Amino acid sequence: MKVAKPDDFQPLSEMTLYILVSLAPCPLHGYAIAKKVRALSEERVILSVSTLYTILKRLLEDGWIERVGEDAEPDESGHPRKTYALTECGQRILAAEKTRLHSLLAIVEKQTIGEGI
Amino acid sequence: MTFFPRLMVSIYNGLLRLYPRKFREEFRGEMQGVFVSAVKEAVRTGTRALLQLLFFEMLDFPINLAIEHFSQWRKVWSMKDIRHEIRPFRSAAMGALGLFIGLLIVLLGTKYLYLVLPSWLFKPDFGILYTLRGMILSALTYALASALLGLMLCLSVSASSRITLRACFFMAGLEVVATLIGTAIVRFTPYQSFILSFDGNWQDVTPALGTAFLAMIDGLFTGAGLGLAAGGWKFCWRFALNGMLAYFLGFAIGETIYSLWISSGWWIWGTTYPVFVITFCICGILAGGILGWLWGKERVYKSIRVVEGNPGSFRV
Repeated sequence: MKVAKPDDFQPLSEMTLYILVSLAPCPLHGYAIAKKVRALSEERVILSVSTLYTILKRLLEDGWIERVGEDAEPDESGHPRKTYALTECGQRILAAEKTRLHSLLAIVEKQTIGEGI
Repeated sequence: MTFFPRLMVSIYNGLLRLYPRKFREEFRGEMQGVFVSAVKEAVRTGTRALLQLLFFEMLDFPINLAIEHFSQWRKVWSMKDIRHEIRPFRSAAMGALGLFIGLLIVLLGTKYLYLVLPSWLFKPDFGILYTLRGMILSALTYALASALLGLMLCLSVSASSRITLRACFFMAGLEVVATLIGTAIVRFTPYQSFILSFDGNWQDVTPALGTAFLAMIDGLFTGAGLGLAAGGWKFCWRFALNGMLAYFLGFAIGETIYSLWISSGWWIWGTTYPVFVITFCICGILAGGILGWLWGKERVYKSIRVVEGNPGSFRV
């Protein structure tokens, strides 16, 4: 059976990448993820609630993120806030994507030196 | 919150019910909370933010809803988590009743289907074209009848068992495909003519036998489809054999009574086919039930075990 490598999942979609990046420093709950993605992308990527949870569900199923607990403070509707964190697999995939983007950027810079772009 | 944001939250909470059950159970509460937080923040920011939120949610919601439903169906078709439990025999009475009514409706309905089809479809015109059209129509009509029958059968089976709804539709789908293939072969005119001319002599002695032999092929595919869905390849051939025998006995007895009914001289116009259908249903169900009980008890259900914490139910 073929074992999947982090490279097999590249390139990541922009929304998936932003979610993984937002979870990289510390675990966050759903609303905090949405806000952080919006802030990181400078208001360019706005995650609707349904999109956020469709992606979170897929990431949970794929084992890239995991639930690590609940916030002590419940959300506005009284439900406990579940927090999500990157798994080891998620971290590896994010690292692989980072490497890919670095090399892509290096190629672009190399090809456009002196071109005034 | 004022009226409009509260209305938005209520509508959104209602819309979340449209998600598949498993997704709802896992994420509905969280999604409600996130949406309420987003609405409150948008209210604080201003009307533009609120409208923007509404726009994004309404735009994305149907797409994500479709994605989730599609993902659930894909899981069903990949048979990853189909679990089914069979209730004790006595609990199957409602299912048997449902099956009986279903068979009546479908068989009677499709028998008279041609009455509502446009008449030009059946008017003789140009020799070979007419024959071809007749062949195709005949095959399609009977295939449709059997496909509907299969669907009814599986939905009725689900009534007498704790089969999950997804598994039920999976079974129904398999059954429809299996019966479509089986019936299209059996009812396809050239094949039928060949069989009928081949067993022409039998019909003089026992008119029911020829039809009953043909019906066995229906039964073979019906049983195979059900067996495949209920227990996988392991039980496929056993269900197929059971289906074949049940159909044979059902049709043989049903056709015989039908012939006797016609020859009795006291039948009323329009009652002959219903008599056949009722007899077929009763005989088929009885024959299938008895056969299944006789040899299925020991072999097919050998691996059934009581589900822990759920007395009175079994899992294959």
